[in-house]
Amino acid sequence: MKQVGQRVEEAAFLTTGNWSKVMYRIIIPLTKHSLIAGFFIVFILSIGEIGTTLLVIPPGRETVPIKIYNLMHYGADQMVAALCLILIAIILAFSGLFLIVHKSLNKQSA
Amino acid sequence: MLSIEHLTKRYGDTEAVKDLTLELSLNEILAIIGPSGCGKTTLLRLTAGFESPDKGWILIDGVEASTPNHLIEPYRRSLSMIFQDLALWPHMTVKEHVEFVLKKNKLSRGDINLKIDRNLEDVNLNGYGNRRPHELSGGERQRLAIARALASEPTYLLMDEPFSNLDSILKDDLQELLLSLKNHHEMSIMYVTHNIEEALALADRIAVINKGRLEQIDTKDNILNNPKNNFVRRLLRIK
Ligand SMILES: Nc1ncnc2c1ncn2[C@@H]1O[C@H](COP(=O)(O)OP(=O)(O)OP(=O)(O)O)[C@@H](O)[C@H]1O
Ligand SMILES: [Mg+2]
Repeated sequence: MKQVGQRVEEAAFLTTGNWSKVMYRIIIPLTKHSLIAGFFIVFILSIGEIGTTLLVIPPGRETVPIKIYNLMHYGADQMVAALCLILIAIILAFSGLFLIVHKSLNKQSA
Repeated sequence: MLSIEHLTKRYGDTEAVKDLTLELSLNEILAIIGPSGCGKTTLLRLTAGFESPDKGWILIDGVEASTPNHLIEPYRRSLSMIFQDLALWPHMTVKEHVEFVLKKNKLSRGDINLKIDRNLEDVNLNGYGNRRPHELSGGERQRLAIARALASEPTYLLMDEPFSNLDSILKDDLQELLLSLKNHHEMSIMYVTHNIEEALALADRIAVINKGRLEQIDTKDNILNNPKNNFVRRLLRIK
């Protein structure tokens, strides 16, 4: 959000004096691309993540990557392959969604 | 009237504004002139209330607007500012710029549209209402910045080198426009520049600033005839 020039914010604040209006009408519209990109990048990185999840996950619960990890131990190869496919599909679906959102935003501001 | 008294602002070790005292009278254009880095922008930002002074104070129409421990918010100072880099809103159309300012006073839709039209007509931007800043020329952008600043009907207008990057014909046109707008709207203008021609073309009085200090302030004629020292003489190109 620091990318929005300080003057641009100030010019808005000088006329309305209303920070929430400056936020909704100026700062968020100008940063929505980075905000949305940030959201998807974090999402896609975390969906396949194992290390931290293993540390914090409560007993009795599993995420897909952890299920895969566990199943690999037991040698349930077909199950692993299926889950991997599901994971890949989810990631691709979200990447696609991201591209669509991104395109429609670009069209709006063009 | 806007009075600035003994105003001082430090950034770390640099004193950007030093013990500066001056007044902006009703309906006058005061040119603030000085070399780069002498504290002109800082002075305007202090006046607008974006920065608080380390010493001194600013009175706006008799009310203490800035002191070292008390600051009236910028939007309650009945002033507008045109920033050195214009600070237009890239995602908004020309109309939306003006509308954003007008939305503050709960007007009806019809009144807002009427005011937008009149405001854009003032700066000859009617017909450009649906363009965004990147679809405007440099001079048109400058005029949009003026339109936005005037939309709130300010008593005081602070301008930070608004016409510095324009060719001389365009500059002349905009100066003429500014003068005619000022006559219609009754306002006092603080006009920062480092260009002596601009100061002479527009100002009633000229304030010369050097390293944060006020060197001299006087009417155009007086300052040209009686420059106080060599610095003023050189800056104003007096032989
Ligand atoms: N936010 C800040 N933090 C630290 N120093 C600053 C800050 N703003 C300004 N200064 C310093 O204060 C001094 C005055 O700066 P200012 O921007 O007011 O100059 P100026 O007269 O507007 O110059 P120019 O004509 O180049 O725009 C400069 O030395 C500058 O480096
Ligand atoms: Mg400056």
